[in-house]
Amino acid sequence: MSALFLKIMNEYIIGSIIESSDKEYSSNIGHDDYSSQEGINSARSFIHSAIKEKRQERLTRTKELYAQSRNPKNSILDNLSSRKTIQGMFSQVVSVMQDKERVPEGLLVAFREQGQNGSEEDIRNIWKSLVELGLIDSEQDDHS
Amino acid sequence: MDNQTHYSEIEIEELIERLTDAQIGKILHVYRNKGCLERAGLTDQDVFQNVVVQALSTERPWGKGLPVEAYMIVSGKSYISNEAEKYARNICESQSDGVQIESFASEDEDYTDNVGSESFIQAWVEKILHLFADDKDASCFLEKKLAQIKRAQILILCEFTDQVYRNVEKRIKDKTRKRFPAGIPFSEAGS
Repeated sequence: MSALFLKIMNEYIIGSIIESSDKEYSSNIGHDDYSSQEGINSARSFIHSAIKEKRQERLTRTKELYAQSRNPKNSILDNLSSRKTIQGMFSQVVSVMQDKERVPEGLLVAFREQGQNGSEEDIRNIWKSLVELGLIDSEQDDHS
Repeated sequence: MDNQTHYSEIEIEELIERLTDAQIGKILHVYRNKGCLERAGLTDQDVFQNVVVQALSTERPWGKGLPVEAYMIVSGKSYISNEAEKYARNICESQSDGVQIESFASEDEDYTDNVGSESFIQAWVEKILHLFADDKDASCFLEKKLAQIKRAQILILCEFTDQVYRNVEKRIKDKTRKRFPAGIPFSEAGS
């Protein structure tokens, strides 16, 4: 019972810390058992570096997307793949994969890994890669 | 994530970047008083960094309107609790002779259930009651809380109005924090 009372008191102390005004807390910074300026600076410095890193990642991602959108080969391939059915692309991919004489083993392994999830996006990407490598005729009919 | 109901990555960056020194100080203080080191073996900075990284990655959804301090405190408490469970398991596994298990490492909301030492509890109860020995209303409030009497009954037994109840509670919170800013040192309970 007394342990529960102490728990309530501990939560009261935490509540009072949270409810104290910024002005009041600032006047206690560095005092016994309050946060130190050094600790606050260290936390702030972490915030700056974490945000900087995030913004850098976002910038790199945006640049990549922009570069992709500016690449005419990509847009042609995107355009071609959008005209094909997933099933058609899948048949062409399987057909190429089975022709071990045309496709080097290393390439086969890489495509198998890329397509592990078997999502439509994976199939479309593998199809585009094989068209780029000249192993698939993009104009070939889905059912031929 | 729905940008109508949750802050976006960019909004979160701005909110965290705008934290004042006092807000950061309070957040770190709460992590310490929640026993991050004693229960989970983490410093206040460890917890803070984890919460910032999770927030920036939008891993932990941040509903619009929830203030930055509240978000960081709730996330930090949750992180401490999760890590405390792992920490307790590690301690159990490493203590092959099964002697004493760290008293402070357990579920967040139940961590005081394991305080163990009756003398520790008694000493702290007395310290707190003594702090308000000259305050009749606060003494009445605390004695009833100690006896686990609910608010509605306290209002009757101590002859408080709602406003007086709130004032007394606030007085107790602030005075206890000023006297014991580090909170109740449950980590010392077993020693």
